[in-house]
Amino acid sequence: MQQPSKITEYLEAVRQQIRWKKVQSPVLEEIKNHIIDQKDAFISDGLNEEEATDKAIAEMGDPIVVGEQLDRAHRPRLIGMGIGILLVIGILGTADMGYNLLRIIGVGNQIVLGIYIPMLGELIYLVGVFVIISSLAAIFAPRNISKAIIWCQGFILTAIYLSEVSPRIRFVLLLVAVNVISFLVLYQISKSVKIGLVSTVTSFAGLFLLVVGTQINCYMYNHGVNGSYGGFENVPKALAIIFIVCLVPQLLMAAFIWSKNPSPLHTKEF
Amino acid sequence: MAIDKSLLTGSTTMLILKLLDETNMYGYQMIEELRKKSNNAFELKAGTLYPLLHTLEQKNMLTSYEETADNARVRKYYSITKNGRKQLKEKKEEWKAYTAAVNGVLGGASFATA
Repeated sequence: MQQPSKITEYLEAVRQQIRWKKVQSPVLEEIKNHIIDQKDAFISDGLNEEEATDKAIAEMGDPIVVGEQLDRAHRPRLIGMGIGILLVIGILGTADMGYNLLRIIGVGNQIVLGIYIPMLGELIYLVGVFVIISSLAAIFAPRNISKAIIWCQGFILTAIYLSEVSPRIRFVLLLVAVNVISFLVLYQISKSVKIGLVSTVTSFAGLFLLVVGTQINCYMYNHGVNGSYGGFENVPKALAIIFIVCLVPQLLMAAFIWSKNPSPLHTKEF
Repeated sequence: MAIDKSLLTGSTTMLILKLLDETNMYGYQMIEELRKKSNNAFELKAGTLYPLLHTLEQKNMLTSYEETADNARVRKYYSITKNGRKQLKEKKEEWKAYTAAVNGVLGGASFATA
């Protein structure tokens, strides 16, 4: 039974590329029929069974490429839309949802197994958001970067949690989200990690100036009102925070893309 | 005569729609028909055809149905929709304008630019 297994092998390689399980069987059935039709045609041209099978499979082309193209043709739009709506609800929801959930399951305060966890409600809410975003990334994002997005989202949500614990840095996080999205959009358009990184570094520079400007403003105000400039201890903290939350996700993403593609620095020409 | 692949990709949709405009077909049949009609010039790969067919189906240019062949295998037939016919008409016109322009340049004459 060597011959059928070659076709099965090919179909299995294609299957692995198609993420939407529901369409796998009908799509593979169609491909299988095609290979058999082609094989039969080669046999009636005078080839033997084995040659015909090999040639029919070769005619199909690289199973990975075929699978990827089929995967692209079958994004689960309806399911995705549902998850998208959930995502929006999730983001519109607040930490109160987390606290309500805590009350419902009977853990009324912030102590779990004897350990005090600050902002437990927020934590639960953010974990929920993380799960939703990860599913979205797994469904919609191109295969080679979906993992990177999930990692970065985890990183950003951790940063958000930390910022909830210490509310000062919240405004920065909004900018981080914008930053990451712009990185991905640029990557999608240009297929070049380099351009994405350039945008990241530029926006970091913008934020840097913003922080410095705000601080200077602050000191001027303090000086005018109180006669003293006030403490400088917040400046390094703010800079460190924007550095970490702005650059680390993008660098992680770039590293993931680089590790997936042997020569990612090429720029797609239009 | 083999034809450069990049010349084919843009027009494949139009060719498929044209084939289906005449009669309903399954994938393998389309490749065979295309090969015959083009005197072996268009060797459309199945790996290109099926993703394209599925995309066109989602865009509502084609619909598909299953039919059992004599050898008990179930075949997936495609047929063109009203929307598909409309697209075909547009693509044909685009193509005519494009080839006229290319011919104009190749022929060295400037009459193509009206």
